[in-house]
Amino acid sequence: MNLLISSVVVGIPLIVLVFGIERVKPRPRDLMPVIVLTALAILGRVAAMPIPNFQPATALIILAGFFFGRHAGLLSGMLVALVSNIFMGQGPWTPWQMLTWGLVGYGAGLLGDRVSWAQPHEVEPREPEKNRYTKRRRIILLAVVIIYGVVASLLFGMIMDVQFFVAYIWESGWPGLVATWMMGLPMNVAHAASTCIFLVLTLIPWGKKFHRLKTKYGIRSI
Amino acid sequence: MAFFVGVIVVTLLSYHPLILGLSFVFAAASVIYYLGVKVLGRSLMWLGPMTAIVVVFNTVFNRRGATELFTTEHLQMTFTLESLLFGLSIALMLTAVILWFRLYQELMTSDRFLYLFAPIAPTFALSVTMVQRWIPLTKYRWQQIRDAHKPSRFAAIRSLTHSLSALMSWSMEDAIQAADSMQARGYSKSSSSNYGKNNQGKGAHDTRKRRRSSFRYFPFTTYDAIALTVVILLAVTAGLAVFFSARELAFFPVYRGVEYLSATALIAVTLLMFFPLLLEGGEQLRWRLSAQKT
Amino acid sequence: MAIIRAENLGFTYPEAQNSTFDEVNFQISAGEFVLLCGRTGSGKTTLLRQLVPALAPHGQSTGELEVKGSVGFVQQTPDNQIVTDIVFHELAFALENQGLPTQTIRRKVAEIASYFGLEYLLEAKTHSLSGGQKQILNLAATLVAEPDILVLDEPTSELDPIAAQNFLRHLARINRELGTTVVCCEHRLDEVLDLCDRVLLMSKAKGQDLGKQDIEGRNIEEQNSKEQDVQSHTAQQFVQSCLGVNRNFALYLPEPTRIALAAASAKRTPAEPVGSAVKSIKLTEWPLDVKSGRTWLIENLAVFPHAQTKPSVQSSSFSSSSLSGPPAITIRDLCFRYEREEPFIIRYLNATFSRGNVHGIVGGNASGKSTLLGLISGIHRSQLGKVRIDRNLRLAALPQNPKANFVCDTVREDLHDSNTEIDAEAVLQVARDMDITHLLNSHPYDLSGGETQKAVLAKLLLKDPDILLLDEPTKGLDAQAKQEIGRIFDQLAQQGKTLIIVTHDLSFAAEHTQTCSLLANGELIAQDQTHNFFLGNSFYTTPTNRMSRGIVDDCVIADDILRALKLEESQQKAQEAPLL
Repeated sequence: MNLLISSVVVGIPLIVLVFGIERVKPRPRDLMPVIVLTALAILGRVAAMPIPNFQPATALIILAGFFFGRHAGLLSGMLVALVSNIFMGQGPWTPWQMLTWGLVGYGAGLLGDRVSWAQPHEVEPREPEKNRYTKRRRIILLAVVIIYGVVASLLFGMIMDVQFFVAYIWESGWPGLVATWMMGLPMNVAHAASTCIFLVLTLIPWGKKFHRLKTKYGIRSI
Repeated sequence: MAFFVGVIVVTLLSYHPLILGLSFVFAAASVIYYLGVKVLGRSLMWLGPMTAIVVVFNTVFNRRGATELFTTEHLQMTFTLESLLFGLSIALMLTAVILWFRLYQELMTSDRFLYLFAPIAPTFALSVTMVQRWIPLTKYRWQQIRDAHKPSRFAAIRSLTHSLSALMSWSMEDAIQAADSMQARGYSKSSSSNYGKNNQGKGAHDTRKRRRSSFRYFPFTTYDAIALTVVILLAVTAGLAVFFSARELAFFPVYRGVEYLSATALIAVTLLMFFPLLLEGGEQLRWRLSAQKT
Repeated sequence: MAIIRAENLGFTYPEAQNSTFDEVNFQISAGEFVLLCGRTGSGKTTLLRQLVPALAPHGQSTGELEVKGSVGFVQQTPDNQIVTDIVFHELAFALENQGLPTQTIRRKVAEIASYFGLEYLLEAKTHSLSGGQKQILNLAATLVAEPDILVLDEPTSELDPIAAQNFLRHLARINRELGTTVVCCEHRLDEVLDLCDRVLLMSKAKGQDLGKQDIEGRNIEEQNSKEQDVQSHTAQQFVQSCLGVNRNFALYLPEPTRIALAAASAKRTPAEPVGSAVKSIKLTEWPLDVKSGRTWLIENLAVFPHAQTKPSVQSSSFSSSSLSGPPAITIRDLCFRYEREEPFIIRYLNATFSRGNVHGIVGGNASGKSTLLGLISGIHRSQLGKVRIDRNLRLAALPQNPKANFVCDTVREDLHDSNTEIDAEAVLQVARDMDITHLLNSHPYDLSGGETQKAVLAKLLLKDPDILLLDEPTKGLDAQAKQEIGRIFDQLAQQGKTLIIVTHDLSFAAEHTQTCSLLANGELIAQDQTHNFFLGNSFYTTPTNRMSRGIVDDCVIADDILRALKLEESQQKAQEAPLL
């Protein structure tokens, strides 16, 4: 019963968000980065299955949102959950994952709007003065995104635990919830750590590449 | 699809052990029929720890219930029979639902899924197909990249990150071509109308005003319609019957109400869950008959 | 009636300093099959994209372009154009975009599938198709929307010769049976030339400085506009023009045509002026394929007084001693299969590859050529038998897809990356050797096919290998780039390196390898000196050999024929003629 209700509760915002994406009507060009990153994330998720909860998926969703816009992040998150579960097993958790990952991507998109990657002067990287400035900026940026990534992955894990709790053991009350979280904690920490590692490794080099792609092919954020 | 929604909803509606048991049995039977015993075994093995957690948590943290089993002194915790039973019921439900999902996943392939969602959410549905197309492609590229770098003596991590970023660039670069190909085939003309200046010579098939339609590969036959109606009817009957007769069931404070379960509910639930196997059986029978005639 | 008309069309990319092309004028009538050719980097792709309204690249365009009718567009890489995961969905894609009802789509999908013989694949996953099937699917998925004009950008460059032929046949059939206008950019002229109605040539203007590229589109037809009834003969005229103005395009022509051209432009005796042979050659038509090539050869044999139709003892310039170098790789009783249930791909294969030579391995699709390379380089592990590589030799492999090799943002970084101990000087040296110094700061994916291949080679060479394994090094290259790569291979072999080349391109193998072997049925059959190898084959051999067999014996490559006709010297000159 609770599972049913919770699914409906999660389903409604999910449908609203899907329609939000439909409203944007992204051009195929803008859609492609999302598809590529999503495919990578899914493969990463499936490939890393043997290592419990070590997954690059969250990091990639954050990258998608951060560099290609809120709706890109949203779509990427939802797709990762939906499609990777084709391989890993669908279940009542699918809508929850879709919603949470989608929101993680969306949030990353909002973050990307605030702290924009590109500055006009980056066109001429030769001037050392500005270059240093860029470097410092990038480190700050990296820190911000990593903090976001860690928080997001922890929250993601906790929300998944809430899902489990609400569905099956809600009768046990608060202690049950806390216990679920405690049990999930190592997993969530592993998740956060993997997100962190992945972001450190990819954010700046990939950011450069994304930037080049965006200017070369005229990709807009969605 | 309607069948699965119906079954899962009915399963979730109630904690009545009999219904849950039925659901579990039929789910297991269907899984065996469609996927074989091995898959069932693997699923159950994987479900084991999860159900254990559910049972333990419900028992440990739930203090409601009248029948005390035992109390631990130093933890000040009471374990009750009711909560144990409740935990078991829920675990059964969980198992049944997951088995149904397993089956759902096997029978509802992506194109069938899209069949349902494409008209409502075209971009999303298309994205799902595209991702599915991209997964094998990305895998193939990854293999290529790894092969290309195998003989070199890089440090493992460095090589891995490099390969990953090569994979990303490569995929991105090629994906742009795919986007072009989509656009060349008229995808989302409406949103790109101000894109490119040289389109004075618009084609005869100007499709701006028309909505994108979605093609359904599977025809919707009368047979399907009948089956769908039957499933919906059964599901509604079963749902209502279960809802009304099984709400007498209560776990707390005392486990009671197991005996209130109308025959209608039972029959409807059984029929509903047996439906796909029934159809398959009928088909096989007919096949045999027609084979005998010729 | 002109369906496409361009007047003074010019285009400049957003951040580029110079225009990609300007002052392009041409007209294409409905129902024509037009071949667009030009050197790499002459703006072919940009021009083609201008024709597709949805794809016009953003940038500054001048002049006028009129396209009457809907346009379908097929690109180079088969894989990158497929959008969905199942064949029928791919076919329906364009129709869905038009908003057609399901019933109509169902019918059209069925129709197009039948037309292309794809019915049995309708429910297949797209990634399970072969490259050729994928490209035909792309063609079908484009055609299903019934475009008036079909624009194709090097559609066969990623396909093997047989799949390419198949694809082009489909294309010709569409043009013939449906009257669809076809504008195709292609560097495999040998297949397309006799199919097309007209050749449109984009050539670089003379003032070709390093950075500056003035490119002008020139229409052969307009060039010869005084003549009447040019429609059906334009392929012929194109060949004719290769004798003079467009000499640098001669390289792109089919082999029989090239031989005829070279023969025509050569001197028979030192006293004669260049090109005088043209007058004596009975020229009804330039030969475009092997059949007409044979006719041409028979008819004109008498023109060449010193022709030597029977092989002389000393004619074979390949001395067998060059092959008896110390073995670099010895393979004994090699067996391999990917899965336990599958049959062996390689079975009891024995081979020896000697040092300092270029070895070619040819064979059909899926004959296990790439697998064999994988086995040699150690990517795959054999189940039985052994690959023995000389201990002192270092090995480097070039995979089929060059994109797999690049990991950095510029070519320079990538070259440094290949060997961390290398200094900038060495990188520069290799870059100079490969003639890619001007590309060092470009992004690897922005290079053209030939440039990419050279960059990858440079990367491999920086590892200082003694053995190079190359998988389809000429795939997707135009004739010019092929020649350059071939020259590099020759040089490498002279430096004492051992090269093993897996290729579909028989002519390339014939010209640039010392030994050649056929991989079939999991075995290396007929490992022999290249010359003898091709002479011994009657189907799986070069066009030249097929053309000259029985008329002028002992010829495998174009040079052989010309030598037999005693024309060698001037042929060299014709090939190295300065760019116009």
